[in-house]
Formats: sequence, C-alpha cells, structure tokens
Amino acid sequence: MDDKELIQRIAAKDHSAFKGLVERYQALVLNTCLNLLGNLESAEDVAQDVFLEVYRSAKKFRHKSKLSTWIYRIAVNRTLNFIRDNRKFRRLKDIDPLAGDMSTAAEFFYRSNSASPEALLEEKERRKIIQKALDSLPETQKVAFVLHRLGGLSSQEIAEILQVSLSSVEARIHRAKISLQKKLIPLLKKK
Amino acid sequence: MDKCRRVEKNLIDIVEKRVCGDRLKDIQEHLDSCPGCSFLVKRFRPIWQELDRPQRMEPSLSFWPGLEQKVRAYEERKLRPGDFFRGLRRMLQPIVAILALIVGIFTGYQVGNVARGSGKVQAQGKISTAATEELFTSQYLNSFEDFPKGSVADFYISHEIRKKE
Repeated sequence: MDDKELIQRIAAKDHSAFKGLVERYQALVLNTCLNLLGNLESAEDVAQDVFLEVYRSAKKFRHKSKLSTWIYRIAVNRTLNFIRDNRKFRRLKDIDPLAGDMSTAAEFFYRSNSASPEALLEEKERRKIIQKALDSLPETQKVAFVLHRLGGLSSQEIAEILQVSLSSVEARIHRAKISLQKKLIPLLKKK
Repeated sequence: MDKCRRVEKNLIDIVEKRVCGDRLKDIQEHLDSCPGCSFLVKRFRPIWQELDRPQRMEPSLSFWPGLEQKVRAYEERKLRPGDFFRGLRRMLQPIVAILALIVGIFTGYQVGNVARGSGKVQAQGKISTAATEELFTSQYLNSFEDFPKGSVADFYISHEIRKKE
C-alpha cells in the first residue's frame, strides 16, 4: 500500500491502515523526538502524540509534500511544544542530576548490550556532554543541526520540513556548529 | 597563547581533517608541543564523532497499546455531546463578557444623560413651577368633575372652585 492510499484509509478511520502507518514510521518519529529531547520516556510520549495528530489530521493532508516530510514536520513541532511546556521541569532536572537519568541509562543498555560497562559509561558521559551543549543552542539551530547530523537528512529535506529556504538551513547548521564548538570547549576543559 | 586560540577556533576542522597545507603543519607542530591543546583535541574527537553515531531506538512494547488508548480516548471525547457543549461554553464565555461590557457602558452612558437632564430640569424648576401647575391642572383635573354629587370629594372641589371665583 502506498502512502497516498494509506493516508486516505486513515482519513476514513481505518485502524489497520493506521497501524500500518505507525509500523512504517515509528522508528523515524521516535528517533527524531529522541534526538531533540535526549530522553526516551518523553520521546515515546511525544511520538504517540505525533501519531495521534496524524490520525486526527489525515483528512487535511493535501499531498503537496511527501508523507514523511509532513510527519517530520508534526514531530518537530510537537517536540518543540513539549520542550517549551516542560522548560520548568527541565530546569528542575538540571538541579537534580539523578532525575531522568534512569531512562537514559536504560536507553544505553537497551541499545548495546554487547558493549562493556566501561564503554557504556564513557558513551553515556559523552552523550550527556553533547546533550548539554545541544540544549544550550537556540531552537532553530538545534532543530536544523539535529535533523542534519543525527537524523541524516539533507539540507533540502530540512528546508521542506521547516518550510524555510535552503540557505537559511545551511546558515543555521553552520552557526550551530560554531556554537557547539564554543560550548563544548569549557565543558571538556572542566572535566 | 595565540596558537592555542587558533586550535580552539578550528577544533571541528581539525577533527574532521579539513585542515591542510601549511596550516595543518603549523597546528600539528603546536599540538606536539602544547599538552593542553593536544588533550583538548583528544577529548573533543570522540565527542564530535559520537554525533555520527546517532541513537537509533525501537519503540518499547507499550508504544502501540499506549497509542491505541490515546486514539480511543480521542474518539470517545469526540462522540461525547457534553464535550461539545463544554467547548461551546468556553467559546461563548468571552463573547458574553464582551457583550456585558458593551451593555454596561451603554447603560452607564444613558444614566449619565438622564442625570444631566434632570439637573437642567431642577435649575429650570423654580422658574416654571407656575407653568407646570397650570399644565397639570388643565390636563388632569378634568377627571375630578366625575365625583358623585354630595360626596366629600365633590364638596371639597366645589368649595375650592368657588373660592377661586
């Protein structure tokens, strides 16, 4: 079943078609949310909301862009809304380093159970530093950089998702790199 | 110190091996002689390379059941008429508040006008008491002629008329 037929059937409230769509795009949506949030539990929650939005808005989809682009757009917007709504919570989490760490630890054991505990710990440490630096970036730079570097999308694809020009995406990615470099240096020196 | 700053400024290019020629030679020489910069590059490399190995997770087993539950809750919410009215009420509340405000302002304006008007009447009152009395008498006292003959009211009215004449 192609994307067009799939979305038409979802618009007609066909649950099996919806399940098919979720199976096809769940990894993409979950990883986009995870890369932006850095927390698996929240990422799953937001990913569910993304699919609920797809289910609700299937009728409105006009096939002007690819289905994956539309889903990416919803995922990015939902995640950014989640970050804005939970800014207070995130600040509290920063004060208490143990809060929210359980899911991160679980993520890494889930991901590579063949790696040694030392390697996992190092990897976790590196991830923490990266996430801290990423979180300090302005929203627009962070989204462009994460979609490009972690999501593996081209600048053109990102421009379509964010509905901005190609040059704007490239500028955002470049600025994000410079900012990350600046922000990572003191973090590395501290350690 | 200047060279240290240059290394810091070009960390990404160094790690991604995008420095070449004399610049590379210069930086390499500095890295060999400066333990601080060499340590920084050594620490920065795995972190930057970590970004090339993005997290690829599969959803947990509870993902689909949780989503199904959310969809079911959404469908139920849509079907419940109570929610429709609650939504309508929420939408109407500001409209009613605005209308009440407009009515309040209009009423206040009208009351103000009446008060201003009665002030004028009071000022003119002293001058036109006689005229008002005359008007009242001409318009309403005719009804006093209908009293039954020999009644107290008839006696009083005839007495007053006689007195006037």
